[in-house]
Amino acid sequence: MTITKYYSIAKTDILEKVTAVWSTALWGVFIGIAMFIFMNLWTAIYSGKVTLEGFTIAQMVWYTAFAEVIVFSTGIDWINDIGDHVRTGIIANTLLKPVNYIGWQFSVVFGNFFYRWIILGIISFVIAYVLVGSIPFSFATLPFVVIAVLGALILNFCISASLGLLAFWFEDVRAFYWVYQKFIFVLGGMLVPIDVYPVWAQGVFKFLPFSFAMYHPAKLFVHFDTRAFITTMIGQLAWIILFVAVLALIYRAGIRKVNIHGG
Amino acid sequence: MGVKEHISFLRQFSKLEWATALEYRANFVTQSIGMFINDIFWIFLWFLLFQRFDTINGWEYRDMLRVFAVLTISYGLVGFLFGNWTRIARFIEHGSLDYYLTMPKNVLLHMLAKFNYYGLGDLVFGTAMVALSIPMTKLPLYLLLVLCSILVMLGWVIITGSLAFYLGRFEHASQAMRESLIIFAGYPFSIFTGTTKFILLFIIPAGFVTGIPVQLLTTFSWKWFFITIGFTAAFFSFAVWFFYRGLRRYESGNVMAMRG
Repeated sequence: MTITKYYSIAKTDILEKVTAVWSTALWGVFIGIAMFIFMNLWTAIYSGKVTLEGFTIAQMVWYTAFAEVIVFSTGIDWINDIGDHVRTGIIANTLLKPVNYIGWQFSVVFGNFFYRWIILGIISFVIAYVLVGSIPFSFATLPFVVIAVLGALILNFCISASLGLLAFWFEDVRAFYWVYQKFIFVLGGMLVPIDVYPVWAQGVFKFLPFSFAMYHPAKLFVHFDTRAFITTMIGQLAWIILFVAVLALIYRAGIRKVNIHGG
Repeated sequence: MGVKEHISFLRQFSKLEWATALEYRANFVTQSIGMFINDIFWIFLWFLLFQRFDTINGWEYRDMLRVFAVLTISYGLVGFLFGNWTRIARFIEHGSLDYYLTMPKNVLLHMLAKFNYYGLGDLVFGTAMVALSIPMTKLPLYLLLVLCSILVMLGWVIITGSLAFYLGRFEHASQAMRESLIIFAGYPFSIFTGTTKFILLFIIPAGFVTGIPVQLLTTFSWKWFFITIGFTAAFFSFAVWFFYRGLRRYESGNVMAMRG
């Protein structure tokens, strides 16, 4: 019964979003632009070299495509949505319903993830193929890559929801959205694989939660390695446990504020 | 309205918007700081890349500091003074221009005028970038190029937003076109060559937002200086003409709305 109700929430939300398919497809334009810019950037940086830190230009472009799909489908923008729920009082309404707010939000995020992944995945992978052709990929590794992406989805949700719920204390959470987005872009290795950074930066960034929500799963896609997969699983699990606790703490403290305001 | 009246209007408007910002201090502060940190991360990315690669097609780290010195000040000033620049197509689509049409002020200027808090974060960051990368002797040239950058940015959003007069539902597309200009402007212009470079100069003019200004600040050329001034004047004039031409096709939405 419990699972069924959250499944229904996810399904209803997907059906709602399908009507705005063009709006989602428009993100494909940004992904295309980013891939085009990075292809030019890598061409300039490689300047005749065949590989850079083990990546060919084609693998770099596919890495960008995969990382862009992860960021758009796992959805950093939930920070703003959850912030709006707090600001407008929608969150208070859920207290009257037999659903848990966090569970409800996760169902929406989870449902949207599949919907966005299909649309943006098709767009990005077609663009990557047109720009640089295919790269070697073993379909036997696909299930492991999918598991790592799901881990990224859960980790990203825990961090985004925690930041969105800070709206209980800060009215507007857009600033947190901008900053977290840049954490993922730069520290998480979305724009540039962490291997390309200076050694000192690699040593730090590879252990941060942002890289487990982005770089590690994206790298598994272009360079699968069993040891890297195990490292990704351990890292994701550790950070998920920590951020579930943070999310629970913020949610409890925030909900208490709803009562104080006379809800 | 003459230039003097336009400036006086903007001054009065800024006063009112500033008072509003101070009423919502927490928002004002978090958004300004948020944008400042956001900008720091962009430059941090280039810092990391230039630690690995000394130059990218001839561009150095200092050139990227100059890109952000131009981009964040232009973007910040546009956000600070013309915060509605992101909503032109929305106003047209929703029939919300009626309010501005009934006022005795310049419709385009009045519609654009709004104070966006994030602009301040950009301006503070941009000032730091200017201090780090622009020598005092080049400051007058820098200021002139920032003005060109602002006018090209505004011209682009006015043209893409005004397409809603002709094409109807265009809000999301105009948003995407605006974002595209800023995205292209945030990368070293040296990575674009051939047809792409031509497109980024004369079709999606991101090159005139940062690329050419930075090139002029590094290696001045009278030819590119006059091309920049000429292009900016022609492009912005066309944008204003295109808006007013489209305005003739505008149909009221009969929308009752409160303005806060």
